[in-house]
Amino acid sequence: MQVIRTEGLTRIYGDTAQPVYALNGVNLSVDEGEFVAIMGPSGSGKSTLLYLLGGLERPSSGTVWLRDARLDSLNDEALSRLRRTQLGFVFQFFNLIPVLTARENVAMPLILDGVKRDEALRRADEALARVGLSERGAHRPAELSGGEQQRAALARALVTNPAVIMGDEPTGNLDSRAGEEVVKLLRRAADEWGRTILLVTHDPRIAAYADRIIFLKDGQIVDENRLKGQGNADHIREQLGKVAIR
Amino acid sequence: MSVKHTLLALLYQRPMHGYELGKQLALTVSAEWDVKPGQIASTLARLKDANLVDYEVVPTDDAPDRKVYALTDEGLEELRTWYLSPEVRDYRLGDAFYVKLVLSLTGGPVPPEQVLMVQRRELYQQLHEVTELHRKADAQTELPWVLLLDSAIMHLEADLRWIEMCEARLPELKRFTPPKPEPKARGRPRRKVPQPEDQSAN
Repeated sequence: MQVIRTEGLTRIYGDTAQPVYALNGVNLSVDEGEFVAIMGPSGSGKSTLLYLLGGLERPSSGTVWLRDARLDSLNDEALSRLRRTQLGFVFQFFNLIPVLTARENVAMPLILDGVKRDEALRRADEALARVGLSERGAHRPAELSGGEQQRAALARALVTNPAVIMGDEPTGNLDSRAGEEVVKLLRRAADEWGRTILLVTHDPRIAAYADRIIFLKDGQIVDENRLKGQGNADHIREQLGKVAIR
Repeated sequence: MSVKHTLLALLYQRPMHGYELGKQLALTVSAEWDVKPGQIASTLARLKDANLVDYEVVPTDDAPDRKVYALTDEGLEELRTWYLSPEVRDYRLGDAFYVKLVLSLTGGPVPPEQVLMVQRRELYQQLHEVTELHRKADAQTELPWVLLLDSAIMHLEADLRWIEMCEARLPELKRFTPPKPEPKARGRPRRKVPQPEDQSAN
């Protein structure tokens, strides 16, 4: 089932005399439970694409569908509500509120949505357990490592049970180990919890976890690699297993 | 990598006979033992000649007597020297893909962008598979295998980053035109320029 679809998605900056096409006629569709990585050089439009898909920006032309909702035709209030309930975001610099504990940070989207404090905190604890942070809920962001902060941010993105999780370079500020933990959690979110994952990254090792990689250049899709179920793991295992001893 | 030093390293653990050495290596490094049969025996013989190992003949009840090998002091020294010497990595950077890429820059039926794209696709496929294997491996019980997978992942990442860099540099790379070879002189060698003695003959 398609959860995201775009047609002719375009975003133009600058005046009509010298328009800059951040995104130029992108057609994309993502199925439920898919893990898609979006890659490309600086200025390729990958972050713009993510923000348009997440309703954080409006397109200049073209359409974006999130399930049955056409994002480009919703008013600000409807878009805001959709973002709170259907979408979860994870950013490179964590964006946690420093004066709140991890638990309170994770509960925040629910509280903003009118859920009672006790219920919100209970669900926050559940989300923290999923990302392996049960013992750290009472700590403030400054007392958490980078990897822990990002996992808290992921818990916050998951707490509203959104259909789609979007990440903009979520491992960009983490070391290899912490980054691996985060991407493994995102992989679980797709495999075990049925979320659709959209990840902008420039890290090949992170992108390799995806089912599909989309490559952008100059605002257009230039290549798509389907990774899932394509290759021959046994052959690789055999190749690697041969150590050269003479 | 040499059979000789591998055997010395294994004998550091305990004395062993030839058959045991072969089995122990495969169990330690968890890799296919890609060596001809008889090579262990001949290497042990050479090590004995060089006084790096010595053996004891141990009688066994229902089998022929076995030679059980052990390190000598010289063998231990040789082993220490080996561990303290860096290894030359044997991967070739100037490989088939490198040549193909350079040739594609000079023009052809397929533009270099596509050559890079095809290679990138293959590498991401491999990185995906190796990452899957890594996820399933148990670092507690399969450590040598996990180390190998880590190495594979990092080398694939390096290859992919190099491809990314080539893509970014394409505009300048496409300006590359290789020089043409100098024309080779053909036919009989020309006569030398006449010397003053010759001229006086006219």
